[in-house]
Amino acid sequence: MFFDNKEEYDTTGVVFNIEQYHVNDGSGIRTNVFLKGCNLWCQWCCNPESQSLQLQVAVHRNLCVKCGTCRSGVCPRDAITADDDGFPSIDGSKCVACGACVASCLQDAMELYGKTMNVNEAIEEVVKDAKFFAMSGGGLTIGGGEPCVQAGYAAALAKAARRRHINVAVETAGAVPFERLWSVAEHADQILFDVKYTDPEKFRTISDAPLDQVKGNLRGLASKGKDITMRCPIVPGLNDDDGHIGRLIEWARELGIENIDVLPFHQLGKYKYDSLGMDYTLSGLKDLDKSIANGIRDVMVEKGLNATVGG
Amino acid sequence: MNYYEYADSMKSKHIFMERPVVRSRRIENLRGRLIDAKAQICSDRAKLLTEAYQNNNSDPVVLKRAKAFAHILDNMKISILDGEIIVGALGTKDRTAPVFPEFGSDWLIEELDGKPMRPEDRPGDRYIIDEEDEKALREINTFWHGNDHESRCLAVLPEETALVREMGVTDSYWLMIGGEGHLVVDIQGVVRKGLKDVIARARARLDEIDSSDPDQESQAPFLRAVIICNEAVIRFAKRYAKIASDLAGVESDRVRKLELEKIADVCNNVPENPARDFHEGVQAMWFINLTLQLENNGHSISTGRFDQTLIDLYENDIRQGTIRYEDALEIVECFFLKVFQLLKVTCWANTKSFAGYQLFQNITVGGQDHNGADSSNELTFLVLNAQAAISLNTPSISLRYHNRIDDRVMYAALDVVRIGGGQPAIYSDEVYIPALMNRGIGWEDAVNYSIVGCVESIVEGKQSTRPNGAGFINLAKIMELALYNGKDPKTGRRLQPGNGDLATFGSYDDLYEAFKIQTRYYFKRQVINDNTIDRMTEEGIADPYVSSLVNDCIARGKTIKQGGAIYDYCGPLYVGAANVGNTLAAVRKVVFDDKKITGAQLLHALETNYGDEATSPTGPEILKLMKDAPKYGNDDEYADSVMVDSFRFMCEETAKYHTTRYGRGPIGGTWQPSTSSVSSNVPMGEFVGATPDGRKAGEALADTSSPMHGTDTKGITASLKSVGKLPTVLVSGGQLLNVKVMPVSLEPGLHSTKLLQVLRTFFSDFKGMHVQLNCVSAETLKAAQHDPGSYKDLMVRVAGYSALFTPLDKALQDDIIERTQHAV
Repeated sequence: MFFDNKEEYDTTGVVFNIEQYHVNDGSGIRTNVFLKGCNLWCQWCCNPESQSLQLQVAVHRNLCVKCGTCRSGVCPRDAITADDDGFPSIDGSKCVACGACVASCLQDAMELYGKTMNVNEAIEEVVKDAKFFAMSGGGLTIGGGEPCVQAGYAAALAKAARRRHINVAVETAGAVPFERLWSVAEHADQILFDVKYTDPEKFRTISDAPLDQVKGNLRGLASKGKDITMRCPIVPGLNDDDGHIGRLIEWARELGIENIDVLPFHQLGKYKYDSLGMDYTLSGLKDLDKSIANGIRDVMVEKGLNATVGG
Repeated sequence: MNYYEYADSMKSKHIFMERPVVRSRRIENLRGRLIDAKAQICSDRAKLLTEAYQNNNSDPVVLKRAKAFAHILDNMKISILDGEIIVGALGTKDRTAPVFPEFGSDWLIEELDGKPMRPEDRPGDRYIIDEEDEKALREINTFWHGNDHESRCLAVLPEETALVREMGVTDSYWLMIGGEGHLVVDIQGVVRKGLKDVIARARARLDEIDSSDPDQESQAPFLRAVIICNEAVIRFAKRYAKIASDLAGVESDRVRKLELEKIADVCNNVPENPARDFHEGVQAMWFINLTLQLENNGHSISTGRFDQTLIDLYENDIRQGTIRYEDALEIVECFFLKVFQLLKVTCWANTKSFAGYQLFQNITVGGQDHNGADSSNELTFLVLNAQAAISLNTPSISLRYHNRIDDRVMYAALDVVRIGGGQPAIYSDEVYIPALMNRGIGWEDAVNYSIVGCVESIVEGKQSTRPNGAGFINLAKIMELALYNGKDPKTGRRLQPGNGDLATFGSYDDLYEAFKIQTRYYFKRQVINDNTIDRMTEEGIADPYVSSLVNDCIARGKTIKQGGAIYDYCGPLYVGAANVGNTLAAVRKVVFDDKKITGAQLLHALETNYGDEATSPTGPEILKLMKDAPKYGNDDEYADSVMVDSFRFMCEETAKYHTTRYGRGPIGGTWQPSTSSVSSNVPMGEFVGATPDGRKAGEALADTSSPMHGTDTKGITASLKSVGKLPTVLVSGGQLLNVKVMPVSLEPGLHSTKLLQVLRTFFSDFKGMHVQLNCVSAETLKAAQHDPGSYKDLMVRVAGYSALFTPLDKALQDDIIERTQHAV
């Protein structure tokens, strides 16, 4: 029903997932397109596969039977060896993420994170649920990673959705120069703006960008009349202190932002670190208690904000 | 070429597909300018036409008309408005109404003399006129007085047709002063092949003709006329190219200069040649529509399936990246504003039935392809988006529903309805296509139908109807005559005696038979009247240009009226159908079943307009009895069954008759019914005394096939079920249903999803044919009556088309408010 065009066909990006029926990332029923690549390094990140812009091969140890198929000449670059426990180990300096090992694994224990797609291929997937968007006031959510890492692709995807009359939400942490952020946000109907820390020193532990830039960007988007929801991961011991919650409320009220989502820390991303052979520093941390999350929400509601737990 | 400027765009409070509707600065300026412009009568066309008639007096009619058409196009004053991308208008005033003295001239002079009032003093649809124009029109009237189409028609019409008109049974005076219309020409052909192909076909046919054969010899003038007309249209486009290029030469704004250069390039290429891009396709479509308006006085000349005709050009532009969605949107919005600019002035009596400055320009979108698959596409959304932004009463957007249609198209349509004005109206292929096939149109063409006028279907470029559509027939008046043994209580005239009157009917069957007797007589009078006018149009107007764009006129060497079209159907517009059904049901219930009063008592109550307090029961008591009787529109089988049966009888009666083209070439050549009453239910109600359905004398009649306003009290599901019982497959001329919805029913999400399910059920399960949703609260309308200045662009659905509310006559405004109060 809708036509691709040259820009959509020529613009490619690295997508690590397209998921239908998301009901917490913007209004209505949404399809999320997750772009790979992030310029932050939050310890609590539940999608570590989103951090690198490169395609990556993961090994799911719970499925692996150590049969050795992937090591028996399947890899054209000879990048796979066995580790001390007998699981496949991938030499990142050799691997080009061709996917040959993934295809050869009979246990589905190997997975390729990331896929190069042009905008048209991605939007075709999104359009499939357009009827549900129309019924529910939903649409496309472009997330990540940080969409602004692939700003050109994210912008083209948003424009493609607009022409197809699909509502667009963009989820960003806003730690990029405003021009770069605006090149994507300009085409979005809703902005889901992640605020991780409100303390400049703490923010420095997850980003090269100064916190002032983030707040300035939030102010910039608000002044252009964008529909913004602040999204606040709350991690026990890191940013669950009253000072941070108080500053979140201040920010929202100062900038006239009504919607705020409390996102409680959870451990669901842990296995992904293992599969990618990455260190995970928060493995001993407990999920944020539900009553604590609800308490934070209630404080925010009391201050006149439209706050939710989980979005 | 990029036209659209993001930075300049203005947001409105309206939402389309979850986004604020945006108008660019250009569109905002043009739209504001045209809404503010006063409708103005212009003598330019009339003067040029008169000169040409005087200079070519001895030519055959068809050639004389072609030469006059060319003379007008070559010499009329033209201009390009600031910021326009699509160019061409009926004159140089912002809203110019040209005059067509060859159809009827005296009425205008009478109105200028103040009879019944001057055009600028009308209660609605006012026109201003310059002194100079008035002087010119008075002067040329000496040439046209007694020498126009109206005079020729009146000279041959039988005496009783005038009496029937006076009694208010038919209303077809305007057929005499209106020209060919109600059709869609072969715009697809023009866009793909250009007018040079039309000219080439006419030349080839001319070369083939064996002039020793009298039949063939007589075709030559028409074919020569085709060439003259089409060449004139090409020159007309190039006049605009010249203006654009002159303006570009002196334009200081760099962007506008590029636009003007592009416009010049476009107008040099189309409509002569095939369109090379979307912009050219739209401009070609506009030039054809515009020049058709100038040939004759018809209305409802529509553009057909816009999203199908132009999709290939649009697709190519989008794929190449030479145009953005926003640019295409702005081009289409400019096109809509051109359509809004169109005006034709007609006499006040006629205007009352077609209120609201309407030329019934329909744009059809959606529907199916030849495989029955959903043919909605990106342009379908774009057209709806443009309507959301322009939201004026014309053009009319018609959406073809079918069971496989994408829900998103329906949601988009409901978004536009919420903005107001009853647009788009929704038509169901599931009934229209079988209805057309029942009349003899094959699947391939039936599936390609589009909408003209209010709800009439047409096969693009292949079908003819009649000048200006059709004549109204006042079914409530026929019912009234049946109650009085054929005698008109108003004039005392009895043209067709019956089988008794209400006081003497022994049974319901006697009453029903009385109605049938009168129906047969008056339906036939209308056929005689309309067919006679058609014959006079064939002889005196000929319409060479519009004929050249309808297949197979050129191949047959015949004008439309001589039988040149592939298909041919025409017929009446029913007014007051629900009054007939409700009358039959009420009398059956109160007089014959329950025997609460006698027929004689009821007859007396009708004669005294339910006002006689001296009788027992009193007039007002009888009125209450009649009002309480079962009414069509409540899913009440008692009322609905007599409504359905009388409706089927009328449809079959109409379809018995032939048009003047029958047996002369076209498939069909028969009459067919339509229930589009336009706004005539108000003036026609003035002719009808009190009726047994509880309606007092002079009150408005039921519009279209909708339930009588105020009598469907059981909500939208009951009302749609009742309407769904009608044998709509017989109404190949088009069925019409007004439904009032409150704005809340159209809110995005759950509310609109519920309404969508109701509509799908109506169309799919109950075989509904058409629905137009009028979304505006009675409070808003009342506020607009009191403060018209603040509501200049408030749009309402009248009956089959939309109108700006504030310029309407107060009586019609009141009728619309009355209808609106029963919203769901």
